Amino acid sequence: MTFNGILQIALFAAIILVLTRPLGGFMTRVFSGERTLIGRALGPVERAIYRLCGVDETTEQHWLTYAVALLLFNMMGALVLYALMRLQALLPFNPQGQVAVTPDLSFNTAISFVTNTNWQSYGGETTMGYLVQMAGLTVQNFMSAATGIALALALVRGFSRRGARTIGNFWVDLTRCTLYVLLPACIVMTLFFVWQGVPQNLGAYTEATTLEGAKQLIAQGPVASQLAIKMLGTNGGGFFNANSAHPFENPNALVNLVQMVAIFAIGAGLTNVFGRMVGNERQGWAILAAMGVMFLVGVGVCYWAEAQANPLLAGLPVDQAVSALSPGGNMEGKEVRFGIANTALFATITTDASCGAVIGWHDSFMPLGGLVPLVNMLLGEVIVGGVGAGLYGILLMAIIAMFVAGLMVGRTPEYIGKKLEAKEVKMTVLAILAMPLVILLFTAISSAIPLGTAGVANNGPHGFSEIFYAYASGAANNGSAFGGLSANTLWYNTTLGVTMFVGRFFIIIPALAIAGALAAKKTVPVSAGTFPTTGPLFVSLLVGVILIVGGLTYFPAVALGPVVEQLQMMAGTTY
Amino acid sequence: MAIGGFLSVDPFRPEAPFLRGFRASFVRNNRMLDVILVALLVGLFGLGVAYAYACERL
Repeated sequence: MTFNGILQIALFAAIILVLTRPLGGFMTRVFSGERTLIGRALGPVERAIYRLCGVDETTEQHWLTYAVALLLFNMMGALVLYALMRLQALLPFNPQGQVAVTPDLSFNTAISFVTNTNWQSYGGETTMGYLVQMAGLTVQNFMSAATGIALALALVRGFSRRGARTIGNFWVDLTRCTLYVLLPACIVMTLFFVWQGVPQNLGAYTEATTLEGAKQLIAQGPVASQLAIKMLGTNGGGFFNANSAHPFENPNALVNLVQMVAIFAIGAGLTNVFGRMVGNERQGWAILAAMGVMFLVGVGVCYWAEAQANPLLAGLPVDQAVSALSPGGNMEGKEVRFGIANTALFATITTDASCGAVIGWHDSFMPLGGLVPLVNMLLGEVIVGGVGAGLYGILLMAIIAMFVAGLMVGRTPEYIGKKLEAKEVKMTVLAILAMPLVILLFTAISSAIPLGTAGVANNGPHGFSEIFYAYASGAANNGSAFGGLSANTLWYNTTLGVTMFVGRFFIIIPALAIAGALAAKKTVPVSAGTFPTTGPLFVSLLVGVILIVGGLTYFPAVALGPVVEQLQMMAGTTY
Repeated sequence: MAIGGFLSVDPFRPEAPFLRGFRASFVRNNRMLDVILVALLVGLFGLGVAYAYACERL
């Protein structure tokens, strides 16, 4: 580990801290319907959308209506995306003549992009035409991000309202989020990326002749516009197969920094929105502090693990020491332009949030280094998390934490002035069980049957990690690939599709039920027995509960993968 | 092409109609695959709606 590397990580954390409050303030005003500068400019567009769609913005919805609207909207999005991929050979904006995407890959990709996962069992530049990239994948990048934020808002309203039957209007939340937050920010970011060298065109790929006289096809297209929402919406699906390790998708260190900041910016800002909407900003800072502690530990472990020399290379003429000419440590699978610190930082950020964009190859990390992205996802991506998803995920964990605290002192648990009773706890448990159900079930089956093991590139614990990581990535709606797994098969495409669906909507639905139940409740006045939820004790309890729930659920599986591999590596065996 | 040995069966053993249908559905070049997968997609969202109503009653 170098001082320079630590400084870069500290700089990133400082930028996020500085952005959190202004972003939170802006988003609170937008979602509350208050007047903003951008609201005055785009207000007529918003009202025109409501008129066109027949939406009454003054009418609010019961949580069940909200949930059904959300599900039907996402279903229509998935069907349109499926059709676009199946028919792409007949559609315009396809200068490379990409053929129809296979049914199972279309199924997988449709669910993947609708659920904000962006798992890609394909290489973008060799599979998707420009129309699918723009009107299919990029549109879903916006819609899935806005869906996540809308849900987080609904849950926050559950805490902030008293005796209410409604939790907001899904169509209004979706429209405001897209129109006022995502779209303007993405336009600015797209222009910045184009300025920095990211392509944005509709031309055919360029055929170049190399110095050796060979022909090489240089892929390009509408990259910048997809890149902006890919990072800001924590989608992560790359235009190119190499994702953000491709020089056209990440041309320099400045773009790399902006991409990393974009992944965390909205998620961090939403914690401030939460604090403002419940009437105490410190509530939001406490949530962000819990996220921050887990982020710093994760990035610290990942960077430390990757900065270590690989013991298996000790006897070989490989320079693994830090010097003026060598970065030292394990450089395999790293983005060599940005080094170990930035690759470890990017890997941690992308799996803390449900982004999934990558600049390095997690499969090539040291076992403990690869463990960090895996654990980040297994914890439910509550460390800032996906836009909206991170906030509602950690609020569910906060409910469990307060339930545990209530059990300790024999008092009905409360959080933000709301009593947590049987309904909320049952719904929280249902939401928390959804992920392990599909991850562990499909990992176990895929590890035991030829359909699953046929796609694995490595034996032993490393092969197990490849399968485990894929289902964890799907269920957590992350979408990053560990690597080494040939997932474009009927088995993986269908089971990962189901995994992504359950990991998204079987958490969203109970979370909305909690929002509805909480909104109907009256607020309990603060008393001497109220557990303070703005201090270090609450932060420690929350972090502890997240780690214990995650540990109890996944430790056996984690032990079979990266932990065994690390021990085997120390004993001289590799896979 | 049926995928791997997982679904392979003894050719001399009569196959149950359910298993025949199941195996057919797991063939990648099955002409019905579009129908099956779109039905699965819609079915998943239908399951989500049913789950929401169940959560309301719970």
